[in-house]
Amino acid sequence: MNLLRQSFPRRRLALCAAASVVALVMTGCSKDVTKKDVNDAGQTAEPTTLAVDQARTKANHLSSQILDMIGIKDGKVTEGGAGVSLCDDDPDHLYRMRHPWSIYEVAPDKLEAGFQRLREILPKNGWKVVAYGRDTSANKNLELTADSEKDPFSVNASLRITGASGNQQPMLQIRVVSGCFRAPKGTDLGKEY
Amino acid sequence: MAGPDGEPGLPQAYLLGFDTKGLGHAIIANGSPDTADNTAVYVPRTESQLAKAAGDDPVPYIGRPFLGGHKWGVQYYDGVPYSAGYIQTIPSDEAFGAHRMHVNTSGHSGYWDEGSVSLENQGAVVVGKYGDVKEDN
Repeated sequence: MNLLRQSFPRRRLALCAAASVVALVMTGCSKDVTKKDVNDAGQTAEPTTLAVDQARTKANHLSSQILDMIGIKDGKVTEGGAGVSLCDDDPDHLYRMRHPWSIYEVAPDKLEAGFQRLREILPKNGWKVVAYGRDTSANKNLELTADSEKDPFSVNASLRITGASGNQQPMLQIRVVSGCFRAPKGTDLGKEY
Repeated sequence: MAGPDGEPGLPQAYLLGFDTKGLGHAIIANGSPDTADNTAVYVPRTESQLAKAAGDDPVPYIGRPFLGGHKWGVQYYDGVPYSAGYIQTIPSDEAFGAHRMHVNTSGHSGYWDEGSVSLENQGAVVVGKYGDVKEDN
């Protein structure tokens, strides 16, 4: 279930989009309809309004869920929590959460096992793996990308165990990112972190 | 890991300098440059006054310079010349952002296309992990 699908404003925008096919010049819809606000059904969608703290809690919760799925108990995990990034379309009002973190000081074979465990378990926990394979770096790191099926969040995992840096400091790098949310009225995104 | 007055998980901020010309400028370090293994300079999108000022004034830099090592980049970042003599590793959107990670099958692919690869590549360069930089196909 997608949050975006439930929102009333999206239905309004869908109607606007249909209307604008008939009459391209009229309607006041254009300011809301940008190609980046497209949900997985390919329809334009107004970003869901969500308080920054709630989005942060959600991102941190999803990261915790992912850490559990990886199932590595030893080693170290980056301490910092999710942070706010502004969305290019409307940086005064739209933001997304980014939470980059990693597991390190663990043997490479354990990291690889954790990565594969994550790949296997994600689909059983409401995530759809949409990309898997070697990336385009010189180290050809193995990575996967998965989308949450119920929240506007996506995760990328990159196994860093090859090449000079992978030998020196093996790690499993995780990035959790959300779609753009609209900050509630009165939020000063310039003061959020 | 929080700074004394900071939020959990975020480094203490240090005010290294400021002036009141034009729109006003401040040089802020996130974390102590004196104890950092790596440092990077970030100049947010420049207002015209700042860009103009940069033509005359020395370009500010933060922390220890990158001396020697890898030369990786362009000499301009958001219109501000960075060949200031000290900093030789210059992350830039132009150099790293051209190639998008291939996740076209993702319903949420839009989440990843707004500079996320560029950001990550810049991070890889800053810490000297050149082998992890994603390159054009």
